Amino acid sequence: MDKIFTGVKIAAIATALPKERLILSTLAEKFGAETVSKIIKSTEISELRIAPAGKTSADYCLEAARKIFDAGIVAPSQIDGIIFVTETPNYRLPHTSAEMQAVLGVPHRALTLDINYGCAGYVYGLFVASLLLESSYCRNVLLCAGDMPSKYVNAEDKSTRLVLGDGGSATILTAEKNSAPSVFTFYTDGENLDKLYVPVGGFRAPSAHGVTDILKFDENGNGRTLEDVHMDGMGVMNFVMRNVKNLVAETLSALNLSVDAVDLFAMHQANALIVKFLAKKIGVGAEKMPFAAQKTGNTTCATIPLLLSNLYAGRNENLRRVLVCGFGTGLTCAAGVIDLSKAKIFPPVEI
Amino acid sequence: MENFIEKFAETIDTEAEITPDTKIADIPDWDSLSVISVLTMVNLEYDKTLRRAELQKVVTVRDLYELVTQ
Repeated sequence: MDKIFTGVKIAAIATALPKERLILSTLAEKFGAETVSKIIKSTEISELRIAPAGKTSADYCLEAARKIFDAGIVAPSQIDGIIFVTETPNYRLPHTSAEMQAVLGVPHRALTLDINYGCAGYVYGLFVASLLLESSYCRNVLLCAGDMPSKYVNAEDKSTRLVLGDGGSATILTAEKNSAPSVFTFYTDGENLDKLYVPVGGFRAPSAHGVTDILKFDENGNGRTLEDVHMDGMGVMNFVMRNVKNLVAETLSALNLSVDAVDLFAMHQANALIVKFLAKKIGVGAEKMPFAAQKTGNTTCATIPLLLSNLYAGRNENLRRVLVCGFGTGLTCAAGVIDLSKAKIFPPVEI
Repeated sequence: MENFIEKFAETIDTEAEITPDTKIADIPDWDSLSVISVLTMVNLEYDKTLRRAELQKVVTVRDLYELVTQ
């Protein structure tokens, strides 16, 4: 099933964050100082960015896109495809990428496509963008990946409230012959969908006032309603332990790459516990598989571009073989190898 | 077993005395985060992925050790 792309260049990556911070130590009174400090020690996440009312995931992605346009790397008039990866769209319908076309002044002939995806979503976006370029319909694809999971977190649920934050990103992928090879692999375990999901609010189980919005506490003292995100930490961890290393190995072998030949493992920044576990499991050090979401937390599909933006802006000329890997809702995992040495990577902006 | 207990105590970051007969649920620092930390330690050190049903039967540290090494 390996599809090796050789006609795709990643031209630019930019990110944007809410300027509003949630300092997690301020929740000590609510959840208990010892509990909060223990969680922070393990996740290493001490701050989150939280989008205020009126701002959406798309707003942060658009700001990131403007950063790239303003730098003159590509003009909106040259964009012929927009992909928006999110679990928090602007509307129930239509897809938000249609609105992005108008807001950015992208030509009407552009293809617009939303992908409803969480933590593995950035890698899906890269793959679909590569397919669009390979199809020749598109020459320049704007891939927006952003989310605001804080909006479906219950304030009483420390298991999600202390890790999930908001942010957005924009990546430009351009058709260019004889580019460095890239490849992607995917894994889906829909049977374990309920390990990380929002049970109510879709069309299978619509919200019902007085029924689905009742706060209940679990045996760990975490409170949530059926309309909030439910995370089974053990279920997610078991999925990660069983599948991520294998998928990474398959992805590398598709290009005959050894672990040592990889310049950077840009993993989904769920929390430090998971990233450190994966580093040990795969057998690489923190310098090759960094965790850098201490001040932003788990922003689902935006963590990989935020990692790149935080640590490698202006210093990515040697990132020729970058393993990107996301895992989470679905449950799913997606991995890919991409070349970032020709990309212009911008540091995060705040709005 | 000694080696396991040492790793176990280090993983959950407890100063409480841990013996093979210690009931895991009685350890003062034991919580849902400890479960995840122990799962990852067991996976890395013993190459084993514990199932929820298996873990639910575990009462003492010895039970866990036997589950991990069986």
